[in-house]
Amino acid sequence: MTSLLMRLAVHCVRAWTWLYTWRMPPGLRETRRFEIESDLWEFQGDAAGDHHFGSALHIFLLLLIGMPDDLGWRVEQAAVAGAFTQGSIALCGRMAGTTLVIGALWAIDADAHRPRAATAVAGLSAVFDQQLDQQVEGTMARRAGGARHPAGRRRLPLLTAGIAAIAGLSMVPQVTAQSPPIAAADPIFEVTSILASPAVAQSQAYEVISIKPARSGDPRNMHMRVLPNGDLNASAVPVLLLLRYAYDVPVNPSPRLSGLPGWWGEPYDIEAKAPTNAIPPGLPESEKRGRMQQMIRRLLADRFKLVVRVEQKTMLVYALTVASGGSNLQKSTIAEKDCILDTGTPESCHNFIAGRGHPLNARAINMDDLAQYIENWTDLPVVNRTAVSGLFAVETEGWTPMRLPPPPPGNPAGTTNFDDLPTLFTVLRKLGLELKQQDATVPVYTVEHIERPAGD
Amino acid sequence: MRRKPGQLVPLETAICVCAANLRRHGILEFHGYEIAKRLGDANNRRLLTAYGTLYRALGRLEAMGLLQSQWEDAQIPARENRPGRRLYVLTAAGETAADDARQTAGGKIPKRVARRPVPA
Repeated sequence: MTSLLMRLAVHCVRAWTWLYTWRMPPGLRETRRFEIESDLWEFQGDAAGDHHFGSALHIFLLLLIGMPDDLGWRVEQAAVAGAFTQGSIALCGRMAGTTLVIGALWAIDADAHRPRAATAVAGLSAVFDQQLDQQVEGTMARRAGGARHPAGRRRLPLLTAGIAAIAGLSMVPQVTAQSPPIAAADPIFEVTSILASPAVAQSQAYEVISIKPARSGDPRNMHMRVLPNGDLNASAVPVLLLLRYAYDVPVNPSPRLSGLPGWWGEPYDIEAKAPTNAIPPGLPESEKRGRMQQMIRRLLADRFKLVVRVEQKTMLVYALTVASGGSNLQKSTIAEKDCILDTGTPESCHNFIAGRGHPLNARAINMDDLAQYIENWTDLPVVNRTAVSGLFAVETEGWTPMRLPPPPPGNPAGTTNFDDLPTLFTVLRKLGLELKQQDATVPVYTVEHIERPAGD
Repeated sequence: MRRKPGQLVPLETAICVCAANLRRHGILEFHGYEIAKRLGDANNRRLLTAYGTLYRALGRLEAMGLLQSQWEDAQIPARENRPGRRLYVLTAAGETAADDARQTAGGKIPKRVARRPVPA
């Protein structure tokens, strides 16, 4: 009987895992299922000498308590796949949480009206914590032949209600706060990559968009500015530049971005007007940037019909780390709160000043900015593993790029010689930083579909 | 409890601290069940962290660059006739987070620790 219970518990966990991972992308689905399977196996191995009833109950509790997080995780995945909007996720979370809380309160109320010995209910959390342990311990004691817990049966509804209430309360914030910024633009988009981006409260769209083939095809006329109010002002920009801003991918060919069409370099003039108060003053810089990324993703989806697939892949990368002697980074004189969002101004925050060999010259950048910038010319993706926060001013000489984009048609290759410049490793060492090769899981973007934009 | 971007919730902080302790004892890699058990031991609780809560937290930590994971060599579980384990390793950033947590709370796990997410 007891081993039957244990098997039932294990099957319930498997069934639930199967259910909430149903129709997910195969990679995510199998990873979660295998991981739970491994966990169950380890647990059963540990519990081999214990009483099956207690162990089975333990598994049931782990299953029940974790359900809100399982659902929250699934909702996140659905959200990033474009099935929900940010608002609907928040609404679903609140509804689910509210339903659970109401159900739990009803159960508590029903339980309170039953005749029983007086029990001080100091607080739901306290009861939950205390009774959870007592329940498990009491159960184990019973199975070991110990005395029967006097109030065990009567406390079960309260325990269940406590679990449901905690689950419900935990679900509301988990879903609303952990939900990634949803790009209506991204039919397929994975949560983990979004976690690296700042959260976005609301997905906004440009009010007016004008996209035309560029009047000038000269790349020297290329510029792209994101103004403090959110407006986008771009001349002779290829779609790749928009992708770079929207998804933080390198502009040069990279294993992190594939599937670009043959016309990716065609230049466009783009004017887009953001709605009033799209970027309210006082927002943190990361939030501003997140909102801008959302709007540009939406522009790409609406006008270029962009569909991007995002996968997490483990590959060899450069980890940007602090050297053993410590960093020599100089704090920026600009505080984050004083940063102005204007990507067209080299002197503004989070921008590098161009120069031969891509010197690391900037007035106020953080380590994420640095990793993203150098990744444009490194032979491996770069991930920030410095654990250093804040804005820094940097000024270095140029360095020999590890890779360069293919030369534009008609231009001979190798017109620029970087042989006299030091390597990136040398330049970084002066800042007290270094690159270490290691395996890491990074988001890899594949353009599934993209079209030339329709005329205005 | 509302999560702000880049902040660790107590469970995530506890995982980092626990992983850092394991590292000090020479255990560099751990799997989900193992860390759940260690967390339970550390808190003197029999009830482990729930499946959904644990693996969601591990996923978030990995996305923030505080943990890295990989599946163990397929030959090992085949030899031992068990499912493969997903092994997690605390990164340098994760160790820093654990140190921050210890310093902030003087050995006690803080309610919240602010961390800037590291791009995956």
